[in-house]
Amino acid sequence: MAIELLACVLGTISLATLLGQPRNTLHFSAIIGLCGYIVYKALNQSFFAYFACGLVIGVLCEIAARITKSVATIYFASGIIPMVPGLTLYRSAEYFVQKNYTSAVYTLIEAFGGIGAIALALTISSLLFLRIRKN
Amino acid sequence: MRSVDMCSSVNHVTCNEQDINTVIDVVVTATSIILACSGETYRAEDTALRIGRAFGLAKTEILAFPTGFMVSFTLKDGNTITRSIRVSERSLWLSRINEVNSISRAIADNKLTAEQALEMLKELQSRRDENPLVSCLSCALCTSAFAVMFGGEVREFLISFASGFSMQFFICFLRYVAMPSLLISIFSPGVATTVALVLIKIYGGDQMSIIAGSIMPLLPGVAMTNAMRDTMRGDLISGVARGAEAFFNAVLVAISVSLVLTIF
Repeated sequence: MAIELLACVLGTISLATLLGQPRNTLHFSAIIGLCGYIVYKALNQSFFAYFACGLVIGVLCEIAARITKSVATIYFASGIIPMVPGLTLYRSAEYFVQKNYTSAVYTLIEAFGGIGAIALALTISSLLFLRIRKN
Repeated sequence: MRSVDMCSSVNHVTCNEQDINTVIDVVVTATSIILACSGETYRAEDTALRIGRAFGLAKTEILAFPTGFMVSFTLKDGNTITRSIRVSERSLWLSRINEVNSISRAIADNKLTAEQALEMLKELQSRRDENPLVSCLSCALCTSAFAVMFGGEVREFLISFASGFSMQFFICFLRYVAMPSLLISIFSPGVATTVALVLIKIYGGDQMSIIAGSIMPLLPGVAMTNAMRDTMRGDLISGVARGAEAFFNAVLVAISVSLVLTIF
């Protein structure tokens, strides 16, 4: 478990570097990615878990953006990466190879639904923040 | 030269011919940098409107898409100037979006003149990408970290480090020879999978965690998020376009990986 969390932090930071995130904001990304992954694991990786960790990440990103006076967009990319369903997409590719097209398309849609749920939750939480700032 | 001095005085509201062209250049450059770095459409539009307002143009109207934008400025004397710009190359570069945002906020607070802002934006636009070695190493670390997260151990870590490094090296090379981005997204998962499979043949290891880790940096998490955000703000066309891009990329990764798996 400890190794898994360490790998999660390392992956988040290196993806942030790859996407050109400013160097002095990397520790925020690490915390955001870690919190999201813990929520995702705690909720047993269900479809709702994607949504819940999206909400948590969205709120944390907005808070980090307020602290560093930058745009929240720069934290989204690296924050959600531990939850992006790469394993599911790989399984879908494997089903395609086995000519098991029903399972392949089903798994592909499942992977895409996961990304969609995270994106929806991120948007909802950042819209909530927009309202809070305006009032 | 006098116009420059006038403009750098306390307010931006002094506008003559020279200034207006500079102001328009500032708006156009800022907007195209945001779109070229895959920023959200509403952010590009907000930035253009904010800069236009700060420099005292009577009215600025902008209609932006992920692939280009049209902006029209109504001047104090009632004339209208319109520019339409095509944004052909898009990549993800987060710090640039951030810097354009802080420049536009400084303009809104009357801390920058049009000339200074234009100079900063041009410098930002012409800045070279990150050192290829840094991006290769960070990609390699990213893929190997996720291979461990998916249940790999030391051997899986090393193999996916190699496949991630060669994938990013390949991407950098294709960008350097200016390949179309479609070919890059088709070939790069294939290269990663090939390297991984060859190394697995030699040294052994868990195929699933290695390849799943290797394709992680290519998955369209950000594109999907931006698509949702654009749709929620009412930019339906941008939302659908980005959603299609994200879906297309995910399918390409799956197809590319399965092609290589079939060959081996």
